[in-house]
Amino acid sequence: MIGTLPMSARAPLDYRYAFDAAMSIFAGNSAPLVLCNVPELAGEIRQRIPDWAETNTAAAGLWVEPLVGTWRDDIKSLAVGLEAGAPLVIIISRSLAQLLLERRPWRGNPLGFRPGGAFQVRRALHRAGFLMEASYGIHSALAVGLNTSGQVMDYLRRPDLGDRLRFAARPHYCKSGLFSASGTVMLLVARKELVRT
Amino acid sequence: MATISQINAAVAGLEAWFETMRSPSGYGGPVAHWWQQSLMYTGTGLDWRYEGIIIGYLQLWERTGDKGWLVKARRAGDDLLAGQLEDGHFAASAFELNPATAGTPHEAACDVGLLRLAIAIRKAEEQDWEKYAMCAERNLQSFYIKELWDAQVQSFRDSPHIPSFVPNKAATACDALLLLATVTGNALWIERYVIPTLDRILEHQVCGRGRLDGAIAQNSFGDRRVEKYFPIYIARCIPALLQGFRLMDEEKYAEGALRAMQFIARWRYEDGSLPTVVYDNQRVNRYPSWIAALGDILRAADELQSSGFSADLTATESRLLAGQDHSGAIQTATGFAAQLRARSEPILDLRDVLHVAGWCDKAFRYLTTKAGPELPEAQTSRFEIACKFQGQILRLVETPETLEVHRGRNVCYCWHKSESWPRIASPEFWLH
Repeated sequence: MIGTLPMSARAPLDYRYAFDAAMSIFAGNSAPLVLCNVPELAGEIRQRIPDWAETNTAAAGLWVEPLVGTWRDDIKSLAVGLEAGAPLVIIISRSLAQLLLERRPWRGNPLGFRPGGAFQVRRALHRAGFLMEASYGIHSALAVGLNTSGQVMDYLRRPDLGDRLRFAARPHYCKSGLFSASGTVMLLVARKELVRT
Repeated sequence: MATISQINAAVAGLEAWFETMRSPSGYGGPVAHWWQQSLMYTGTGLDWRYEGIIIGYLQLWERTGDKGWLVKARRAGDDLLAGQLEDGHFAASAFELNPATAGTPHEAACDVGLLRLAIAIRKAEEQDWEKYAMCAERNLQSFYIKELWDAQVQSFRDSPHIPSFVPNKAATACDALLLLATVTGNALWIERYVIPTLDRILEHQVCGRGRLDGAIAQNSFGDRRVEKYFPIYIARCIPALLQGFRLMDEEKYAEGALRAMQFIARWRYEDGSLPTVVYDNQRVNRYPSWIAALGDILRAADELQSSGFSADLTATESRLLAGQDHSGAIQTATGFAAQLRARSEPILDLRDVLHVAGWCDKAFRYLTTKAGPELPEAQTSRFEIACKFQGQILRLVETPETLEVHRGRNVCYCWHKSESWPRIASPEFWLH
């Protein structure tokens, strides 16, 4: 059933935003193959995709948090597990995500924390037969700055300005293209090539 | 005030639109709200929309005698029964934060709907009222009493793990517990939980301070009060306070309710609209200027008439009715785009013209108190309007089957009603 994770157990907004975005990319496909390396995020995924495909060939894929030790193997299994033409959404934590209090207890060594880590993933995906379609940076540095300024305004007893700064942050929460590197979480959209040459 | 035929036509149109928002599991659709949106999750939301929908149908049954409305109220109650999880929560009960569950005040609002349904069925000596009462009691016991009740401060928290209090949400929990006491005949619910909570709500009310008198602070974390005053939320505190007065015969509750409504009336604009928020420094943010949600303000004002409240809210009611369009639904707001700069634009924001089941239910609940004895036939029609979103000129097109947003010749958002996610949503719609 959709909608089963209590509010108090929610993942940080950065990841929820990325999962919701992924759902529109999966629209029209059957249940995607999910490869999630962060147990703390499994509940958020499960409440959106109650019956995700775990082993069989799937028409879409979601890969959450490539890790330093296993990311190459993950790409191999995704290349085998996805049908030609299948969209693959990759969610990668960036170094700015280390500021998120909620994710501090999370284990694992995210590849995205390393300089060039996300680029390595893109290059390897290309070699494995995936075409990159788009990249987005979620919770951009600009949004972080505006939200922080909003908190400062609250502290200075100007919550009216604080709220406005938070509203100003919202359209900047997601950045695409070159600016996608600036954010706590990166969302990549790839597609498995129809014909491998 | 509006004529009965205007009210009946508006109710018939709204009801026809609600039908288009149903999937087999219940009422769905995107959500526009003050802090966050849920434009991506569009499936059934078992949240506060069910309060107004169930009560609205029950009121129609009572005022028209047509049992078809009871059937629809039961159908909505059955959605909640089917969507109750093993832990007592309702699936996707967090409205703008959907698809999460354990949403407040949403689950209590669902309980209010269920208990009103149970009471109405029992009164009519019909079968099966118990299952709705049991569903609500299970939620109230397992969530509100076991997880949210803070015995130390004697009130309901907003989150199990954070010492917090939100007056309007606690008031909705009181509404539900007052009904549960009626159903079970057990006054313990009132003595142990409702009365201390109503007292805590009054502790959050501003006394004196000129134009702020009667306002109720939005929330608090521990001892730190967040001094923001939202009229639509303050209005939701009023029915529970009034009920507290009726049961306990303590003037302070009636007086608190009256002063809260006087605060709301004091800040009304000539066009019947209200500021969305009044800050402690008496600055306001007028936007988004709610339309469908005004139903809760008008309902509270009606309930207060017996306690001596008398202000002419004709302009507010006219604003509510004028918000109805060809779809039958009522527009959410005006000025979403002005949230930031406080300047309204000539072209409406997409979120203004989006129809939201969890706002329209407030209008439905209010209008059905005045509808009847017969409703006209109504059909929902195609609705099309130019709007703006994040700087782009768009065209929203809603039919009984779909909601589409076009950018030029391209469709940038497409939701097939009854589906849980839009088929197309370009990145600007990922906005939370």
